[in-house]
Amino acid sequence: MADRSEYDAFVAAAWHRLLRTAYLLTRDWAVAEDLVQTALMKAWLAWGRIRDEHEAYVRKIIVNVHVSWWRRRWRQVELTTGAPPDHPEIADRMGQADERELVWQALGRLPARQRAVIVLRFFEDMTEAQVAATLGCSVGTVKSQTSKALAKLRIDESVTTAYAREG
Amino acid sequence: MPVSRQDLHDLLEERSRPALERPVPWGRLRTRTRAARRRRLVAVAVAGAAAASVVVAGMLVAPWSPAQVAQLREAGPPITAVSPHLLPASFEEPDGTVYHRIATATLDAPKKSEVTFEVKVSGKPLAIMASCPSRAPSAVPHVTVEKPVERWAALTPVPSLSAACTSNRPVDVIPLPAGTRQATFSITMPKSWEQPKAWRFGVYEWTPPSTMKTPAPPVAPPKAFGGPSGDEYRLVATRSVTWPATREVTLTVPATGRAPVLMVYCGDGIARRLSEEIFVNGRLEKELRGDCAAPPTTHSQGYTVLGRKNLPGPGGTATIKVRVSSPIPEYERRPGTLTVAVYDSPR
Repeated sequence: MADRSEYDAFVAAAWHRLLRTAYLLTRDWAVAEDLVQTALMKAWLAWGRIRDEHEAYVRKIIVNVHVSWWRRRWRQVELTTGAPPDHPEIADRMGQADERELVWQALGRLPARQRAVIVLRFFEDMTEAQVAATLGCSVGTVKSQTSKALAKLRIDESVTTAYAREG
Repeated sequence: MPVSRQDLHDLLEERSRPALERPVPWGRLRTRTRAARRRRLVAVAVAGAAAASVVVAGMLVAPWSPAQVAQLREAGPPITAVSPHLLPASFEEPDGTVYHRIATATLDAPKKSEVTFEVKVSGKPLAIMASCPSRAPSAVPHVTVEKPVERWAALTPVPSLSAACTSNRPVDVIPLPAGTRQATFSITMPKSWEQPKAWRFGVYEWTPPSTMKTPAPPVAPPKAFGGPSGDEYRLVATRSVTWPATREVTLTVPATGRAPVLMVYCGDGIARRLSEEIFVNGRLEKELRGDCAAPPTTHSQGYTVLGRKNLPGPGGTATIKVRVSSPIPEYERRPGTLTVAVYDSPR
């Protein structure tokens, strides 16, 4: 028997984190909320069968439903051409802000699957193996998708950070 | 100059941060989960299976352990400068309500997953405040209280301590039976993918001011919100009233055949502390019962998309009534405002 109080407690605890992920994928608060609600509804139907990893389960639904929605509804809207423009030679604070905005815009131009890889790897701090499990693909695919996405975003992969763990 | 991975992480963190201001849309979520459950039940019935009871929501059954934390009663003048999340001995909210701590407890996660403790009570309203590990922790402990014969989820208007973290305010406890002088609280850490951290809790009794203050003017609802350009939902009608003199708002709007969108919120000390019921053309939308949200901000606009089943077709009118209430009579002495806004949706 599904435990509604346990489900409610989970939703209350995880809502904001799931919404952050959904927003980074969809870039629209209304669509992001709809996406999280859809995933939570699906999770409720399977609640009795999910064991400990409730949040990972719901996040996996979010990512895959987003990719599915994107394929069906948003392809024409989302796909625009081009990478970020060339970067200014002189970096100052304003330039850095512009740089972030350019990256944000470029992130919006990524195909859904590449955007999902970026969000899971660099926001959720997942390993490549965890991303592969979430997306239902191989680690090799995650590596290649990450590399392509970072190239489009012009991210310097040589800069190492503590959170960028290798899978 | 290429940006670094750290820059990318910071950018993603920054752009998604407004999510912390957006409350859980309990009403909409329950509507959808119950509708999905009904669809599944129908599918199961059609298939000839008699296992529909599988998806009936269960009662709370949590492990029980003996009392282990003694109650601590303290008294003294109200302290207004200390943030509630620090669990001060007492503090005062802006509406003049004074909170006095009567017990503390610690849930020593991950070593332990439950703490149970006895609290001596005087009959005043109770609330629980938590010292949360973060504003949006991965798992929020579940609170139950033992009544004379059963244990129940303890909190109202929704059974979650989450508001203590997101709003930095105590969460009310459902009133205990009259004459109760001792209550047993049990706080349980749910399972989570993340390593749980230790939590501290304060149980408070609260007293509203003898003379009620005038509430602050209500926050005006946005004229439009949602969608990529911020104008997906456009304001059709709105009204604000003052609690507790008035407890409901009724708006009549033209029916368009599209699902109207409703934004309901409470201002001042009653925000997220009153229960909310929505009636459409006289019929209670049972699935939309929840708490009255905090006012919208530039980053956060909580809203509900109403179903179409109780609405007439184009040319008719939709009468939407929102009623707020509390099982705690002391809210009669806490001022606030209730605002209801109806938006047209293109969907």
